[in-house]
Amino acid sequence: MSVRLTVGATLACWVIMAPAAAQTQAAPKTLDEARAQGFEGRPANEPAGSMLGGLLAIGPGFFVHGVGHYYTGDEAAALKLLVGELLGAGLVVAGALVAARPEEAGRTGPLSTSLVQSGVFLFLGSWLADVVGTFKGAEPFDDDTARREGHTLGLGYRYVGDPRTARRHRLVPSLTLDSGRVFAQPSAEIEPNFSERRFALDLGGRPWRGSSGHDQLAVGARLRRDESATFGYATRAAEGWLAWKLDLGHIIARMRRFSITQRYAVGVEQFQFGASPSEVPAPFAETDFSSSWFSLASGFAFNVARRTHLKLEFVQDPTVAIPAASAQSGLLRGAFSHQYRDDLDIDVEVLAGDGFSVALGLVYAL
Amino acid sequence: MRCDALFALFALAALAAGCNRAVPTREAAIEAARTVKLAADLSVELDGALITTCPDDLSTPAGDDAPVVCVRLTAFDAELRIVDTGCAPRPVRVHVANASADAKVAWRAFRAGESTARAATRACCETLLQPDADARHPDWTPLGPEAALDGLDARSCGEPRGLCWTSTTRPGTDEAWLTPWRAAAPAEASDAACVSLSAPQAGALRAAPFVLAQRVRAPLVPQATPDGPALDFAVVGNTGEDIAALEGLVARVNAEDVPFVVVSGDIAANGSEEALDRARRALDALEVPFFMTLGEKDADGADPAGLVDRFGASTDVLLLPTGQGWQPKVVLLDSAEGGLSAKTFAALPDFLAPGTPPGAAIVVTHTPPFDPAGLRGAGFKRRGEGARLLAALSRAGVAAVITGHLNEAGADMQSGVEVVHGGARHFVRIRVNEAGRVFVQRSD
Repeated sequence: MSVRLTVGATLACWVIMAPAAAQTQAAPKTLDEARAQGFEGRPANEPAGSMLGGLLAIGPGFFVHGVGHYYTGDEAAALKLLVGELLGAGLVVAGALVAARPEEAGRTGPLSTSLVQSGVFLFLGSWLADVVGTFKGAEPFDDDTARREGHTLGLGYRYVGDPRTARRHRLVPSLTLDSGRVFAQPSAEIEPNFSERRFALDLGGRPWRGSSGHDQLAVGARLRRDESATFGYATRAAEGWLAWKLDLGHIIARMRRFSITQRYAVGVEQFQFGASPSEVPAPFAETDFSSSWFSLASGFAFNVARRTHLKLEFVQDPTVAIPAASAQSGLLRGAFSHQYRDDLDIDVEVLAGDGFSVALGLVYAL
Repeated sequence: MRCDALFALFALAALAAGCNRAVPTREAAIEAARTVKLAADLSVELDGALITTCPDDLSTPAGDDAPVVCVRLTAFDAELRIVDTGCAPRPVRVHVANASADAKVAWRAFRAGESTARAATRACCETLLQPDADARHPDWTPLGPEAALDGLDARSCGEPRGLCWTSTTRPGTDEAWLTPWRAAAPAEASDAACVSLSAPQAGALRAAPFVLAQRVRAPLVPQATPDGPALDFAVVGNTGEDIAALEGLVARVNAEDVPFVVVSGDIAANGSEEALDRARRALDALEVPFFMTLGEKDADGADPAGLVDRFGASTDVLLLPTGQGWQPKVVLLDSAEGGLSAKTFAALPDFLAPGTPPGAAIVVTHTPPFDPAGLRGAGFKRRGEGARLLAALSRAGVAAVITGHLNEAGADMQSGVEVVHGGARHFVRIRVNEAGRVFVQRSD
């Protein structure tokens, strides 16, 4: 064991040090020589990451956001983070005040939900930005590699870990036709023996796109048909949505290419019930019951590596594969997309609430 | 490399063990409360009742070491069975909570089996020969007719909604008897008698467990109304941490002529022991039995066994026997987590199936399947589950669904099912008649 360890350590040192050794030979001996060779050094307003500053941002910084940035000398960003904290707390209080009138909760529910979730998101987001920005320093994240143009074909599989769902395996094919400004995406989610199926058509456009993929505003509609031959019902749903994505670097320089995202949706759903649990009503059969819903997703997106994009969201959406963690909360969604080749992405989506769901997919560029 | 692989495997195993650890549920707690083992050869099984903690002020005769079993009724026709595979006479003191003022106690002893000849007689000519069989336990052998316990003896503890007595089983002589709570325990029988009576020569039937089945029945009396005979009951709930509001509702219900109360949940602040105890004390002031399903405020962080101990079964079917050829039922569905459990969904067809005798089905559940306000989203957490429940309710022809959770009172039709939202601090009076019609009156 110890021999292997020694050999391993030696090899590791050799691997790590070899390039450095190679560089040393060509490296200038003094700072002046380096400057003469074109080295500019780090700009004064872009400090390096700080371990102590990061720890300060985690600890006392949770209560006073911006402490980490303040420690590293970026007072302007520290002030913005503090404002973000106060604004977030204010939104939470405003949401609570709206919700404090239960007799009007039916009308004001979506408003209070939006205020509270946005406030919590802003509060936690400004704290997280302080922590990440202080640890990381001014080095920007990698460019966003999430696809935002081009036609693709997706093939996926979803596992639903929910004890209430007898049918847990789903096939998830999709086709995306995306010109950049407008897009259409027909998709399906089908249980292998066809007893549970979902068909959806997303249509949308991006009225505003930043020069990179880090900023955009999108609006769209989603038409959906669910059919359950296990429980004897079907639904027809139409949902309108608005989503935006903003590079946090516009506000906090150290968070360049780290985007915050938000999505709002309002939908109407018509339910049709079969005469028996195995009977699925026809698509144009009479509606037995109609109901509307509101959903909200807040999160952030960034590239964890040059070709690997990560999106993390807190979602309140009663139409997703698994229920929320509790009656008063939502669920977490993590979407991971790795551009394996220029024409092939590997996608992974994890939902965690009252149960969990994992989806694996391959996306081929057409 | 091998070490890394082993470490990874260990980590995965630990993760799997962690993810698969058994989480205590209220359903498991309800199942666990349906039986109790008092000794290696003595146990108690319950139908329509659950084991509960005995009242603090319950006293037993000095020097008495007879086991005490405390139960809480969850039905109007409950059976408490003492299963004794021993021989010598043994007393068990039984305390019953949540009983109607007019509940009657009767008992009958059985051998939990039958002789070959009796089984053959039943199989060929049951209608013609009519062997002495019990409707509830047709394949058991009764050891005598059903006997009633005197009402005064059954109430020897002096509690308005409590019954108590002492049961004694003596399998060695196929005897059993019920006596008042404070009756002295019988003396030990000689071992000789036991050996002779439990010997294999005594036959296969003798080897079957001796069962003392004690029934507590409280038939409900329909009231005459312009729409025919009908049963009334009250639904209260949604008082949250306002214990004074709950006490006020209890006082109002006591002033009404209703035979029982259903609590629709959210009567505690946050599932804390103190809040649940306060709520239970307030409900104990009711003069009639109560049955309860839970809301998220009751269940949040609460010990499942503690909830079952205090409030009984949060998912249950409460049959309402009228003794007049019709029998409505109240189906309690625990939706405290914003949906039903997998087990409840699986049992739903049985819960909602037409009964014998027939009668309307009324569902009481805390969270409505769908929020009538839509965008607020205060219905089930996942709309697919709301649709699943509503489809089942609609197909079963459920007469009405009574919910809590929402602070605004109201009613709406969801796929032909009347869904009544009790609102905050509600008191809803329900009347169900012989024809299966349900009348809902909100009492503000």
